[in-house]
Amino acid sequence: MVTSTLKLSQKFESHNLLTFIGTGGVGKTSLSVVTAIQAAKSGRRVAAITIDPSRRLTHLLGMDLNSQQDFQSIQWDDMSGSLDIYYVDPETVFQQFVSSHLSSQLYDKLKSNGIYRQISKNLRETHNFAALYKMVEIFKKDEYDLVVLDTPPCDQVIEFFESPSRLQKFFSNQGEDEKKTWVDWIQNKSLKFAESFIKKLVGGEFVDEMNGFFSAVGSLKSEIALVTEEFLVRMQKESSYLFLVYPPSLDKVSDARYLMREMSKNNFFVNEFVMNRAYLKVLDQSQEPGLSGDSEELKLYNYFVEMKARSLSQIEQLREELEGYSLNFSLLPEIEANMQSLNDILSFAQKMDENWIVT
Amino acid sequence: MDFKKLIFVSGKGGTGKTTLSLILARHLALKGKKTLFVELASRSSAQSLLMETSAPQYNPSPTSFGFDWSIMEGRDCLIEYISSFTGVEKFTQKLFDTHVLKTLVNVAPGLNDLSILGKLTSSMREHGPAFEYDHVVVDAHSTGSFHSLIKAPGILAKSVSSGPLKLQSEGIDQVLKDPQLVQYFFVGLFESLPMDELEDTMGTFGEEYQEAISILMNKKIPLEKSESSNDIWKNFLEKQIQAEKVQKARAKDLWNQVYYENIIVRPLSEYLISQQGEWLRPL
Repeated sequence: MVTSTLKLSQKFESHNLLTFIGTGGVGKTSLSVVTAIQAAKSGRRVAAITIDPSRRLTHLLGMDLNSQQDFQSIQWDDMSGSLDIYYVDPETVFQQFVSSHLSSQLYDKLKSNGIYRQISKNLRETHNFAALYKMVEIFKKDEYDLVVLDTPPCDQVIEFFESPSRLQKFFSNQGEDEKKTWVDWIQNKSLKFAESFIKKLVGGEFVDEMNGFFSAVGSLKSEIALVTEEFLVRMQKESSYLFLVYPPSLDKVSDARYLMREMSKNNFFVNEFVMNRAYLKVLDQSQEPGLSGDSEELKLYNYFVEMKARSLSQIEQLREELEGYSLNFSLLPEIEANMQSLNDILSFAQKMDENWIVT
Repeated sequence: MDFKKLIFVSGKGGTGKTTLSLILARHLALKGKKTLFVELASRSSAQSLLMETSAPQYNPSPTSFGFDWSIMEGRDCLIEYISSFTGVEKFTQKLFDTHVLKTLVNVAPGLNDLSILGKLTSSMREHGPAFEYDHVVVDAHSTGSFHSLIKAPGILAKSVSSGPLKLQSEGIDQVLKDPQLVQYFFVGLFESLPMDELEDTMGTFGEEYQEAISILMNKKIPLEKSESSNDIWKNFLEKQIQAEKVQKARAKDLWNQVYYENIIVRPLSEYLISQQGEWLRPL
């Protein structure tokens, strides 16, 4: 296996959008922040969009999530570019989108609708849409050389890519199978039996709220389509680069395989598979464990060595199976991190950059 | 430990929820309990960990580890629930194929959640099609989504003023808060960021579900010190052990019921086969 490291800053000179996707807890946010820092160090004007950052990260970066401003400029001594970190609160951003495209009268009515409140808060498609809406808005500002997008945590990565079309379908409220909208449907006398059935199930008010909701949001359909189209155009440009971050566990590697097939159906293509925390960095430095017999410690050491070999062979296997997709494969070993200050984050970013191994 | 009928396992992504749920299911099966392991997902994670050749389905089927398994999403549960009233599965299926009902399920995220919880608690409420098991171990979503899942019945009960939906929601909410019936495990790691999140989680769930919650710290290093003559490795490992002690103190400060599991240094399927005796050691 030929391996090389290429500084992030060199690698991305020709790109203006870097997107990180992955399931929860794989280190998407950390990697996107590290990448944004390295790009800002090398002189680029960077906007990083993050959703659901950890308490510690927001604290260390000095971000104020309650501030009126939706971004925080981060500065340090030897920085030659600039770094603005945008924090997306999905509920707020989604409401901004809705209120800016509806008459104030309609919006006031919508605000008190229980279904609207539920979806702006809890629907995952809404969270994903908020992220891509923010990205489109930032591009419109035309103030940055590079936008780094951290996507919302989801149980299945594919959700993020399906969300624009699902949300669109949802708001237009038209299935592929039928031409009628919810409102048409509920008013159709021949289907009254089904309405009474649903009313029995969920109660009459709920159905009323539902009718109220759809008559209010009907006009949003085309706005969602516009944002979605703009997002697709950005994502599918040559200057966009998509990372899939995954851990070295068996089930997640099998997910990655599944994902490629699903994504290509939606015309999305991952550029780089990044295995994060692929193995312990210390194993690169120490060859002999200096342990005798069959102690617990030797078992542990051998286990970590095996894990490393397994991670590397998993990457090779993925590469073979996904040969047709022109993908890059990289990995990051697990590095000790003691994050107590902004300086710690900066030196961690440096270390991550140096250890980002392209296989 | 006295295990309850319904056991949820949640925690931050990547902490090992699925692994620990499987160990728990195996443990209960070894004690002779009729046990069901349930994944709340559209694709199984357990299948590759167990190295089973076929995937779990909505209807429970046996594994080679002594417990049954099943995978479910809200839609499946809702169809089954409605069928049990209409008595005609075909009719219900047909109804669900219309986009209107698809929309209904999507538009009311609470309804999806409610259907899952309705199914899981049906035997305790003597309502709807029930599971016949001594224990049901649920490999649940990660903390954020799990929170919306568990809160859904309470919120729905408040937002709907009458009707069957309200009654069902209230009933489910009561069961979920009954420490005699339901138990929650939150999986943590001996690392500072995951520990931050665990503190947040306990802030969110702690008060309301107090007695029913246990913390399960995963991937403990089973050593006190290093015997290695290789300084690089020795330093690394001892630093890890020290760092672990700091997190251990935080965990014990945070909660009364804290247990741990060591790093498992072999494939999970092999480990499960060799598993025996008592499990769940207090930290």
